[in-house]
Amino acid sequence: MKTNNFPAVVRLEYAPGDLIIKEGNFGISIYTIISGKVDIFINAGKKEVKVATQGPGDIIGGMSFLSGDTAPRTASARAIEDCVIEAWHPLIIKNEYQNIPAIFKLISGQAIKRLVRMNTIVLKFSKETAETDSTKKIPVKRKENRKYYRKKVDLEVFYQPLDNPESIKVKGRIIDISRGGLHIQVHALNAVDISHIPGDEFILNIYLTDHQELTITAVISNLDKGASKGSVRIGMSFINMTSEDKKHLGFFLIQ
Amino acid sequence: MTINPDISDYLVEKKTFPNKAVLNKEGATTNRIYVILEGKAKIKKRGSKGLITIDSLSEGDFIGEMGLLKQGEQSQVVSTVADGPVSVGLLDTDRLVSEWNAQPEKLKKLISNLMLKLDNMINKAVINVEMSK
Repeated sequence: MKTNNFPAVVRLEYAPGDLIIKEGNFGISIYTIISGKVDIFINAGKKEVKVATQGPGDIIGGMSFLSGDTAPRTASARAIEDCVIEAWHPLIIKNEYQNIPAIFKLISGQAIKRLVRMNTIVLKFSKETAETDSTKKIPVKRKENRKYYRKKVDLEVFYQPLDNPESIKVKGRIIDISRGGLHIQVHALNAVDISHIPGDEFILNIYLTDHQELTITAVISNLDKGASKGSVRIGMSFINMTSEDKKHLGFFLIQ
Repeated sequence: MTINPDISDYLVEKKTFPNKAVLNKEGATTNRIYVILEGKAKIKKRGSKGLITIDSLSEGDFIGEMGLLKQGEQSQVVSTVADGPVSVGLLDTDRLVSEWNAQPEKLKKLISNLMLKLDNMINKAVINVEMSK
């Protein structure tokens, strides 16, 4: 499809896992997602840090154009489903962009600088944790969790994906807990909208007592059928606990 | 500060705020857009354990603009707090909204996506800052 005298717009198909944009490459194409979903991620050493999931109607690859086509790609994009994507040349909107009120270009320019600063914060932390925790995203074997005393409990917990703090919280019941991790029983229907596979990381809000709430990050280490019909038992290992949280949990465990 | 003529054309009022004054509040649906004329401000975002300072602004930077340009979303994504006395210019928001709405859809979508990416990245940065403490 040719648009006036500009280069043609091309429709491309991608399978799950296909790389659409690679961080660090120079590229000018801008893409509109027609169908399917695409993960946007940045590289922190050997670790990939997902920053967003884009879907139909979203545009990816536009940062290079807004930065003046001189900077390399600041993030990668990978299809996570079968995708149909429209690739178009920035010349198609170059004239329009040159004609917009200058104030919008100034605002976009500020947004890009702020995005780079936020990227830097995320990358800095991700590299630090990648250096200190090389087992991240690798399922922890069940027997490695058994070095701590495990207390049987019945406590309420709410949790949400670490990389999507805006998502709806999942409610579950903690059935046992130790200094190293816990098991949560969740009704399968409550957890269906969020990925639950070994290696997935979550923020947990644990109510030890009426007055004591812990907010802890944890990674799924194993999944089993739950004790009641339609439920799932999820084993999670704690990561990055503060000394304060360790103290509160420690007191709770010895009561 | 010498005001960029591309911005001064939209100035309707100048205001001065004292240290720690909240210039715009996260979650608010107000459509006030400012430019910093003199002084500095901190960008704060609510995390699971309270407000986190994640960025800073200075002369020439805009405040409140993300709510305008994120299509479908009109609420402020961060709070901006004066870091010392700060002088700001209130921009003609009606004119900005009108001019923005008149832009081609593809262009608006492109810039709106940029704002969404910034929003996502701010959320990620907040989590990382909290976890590093």
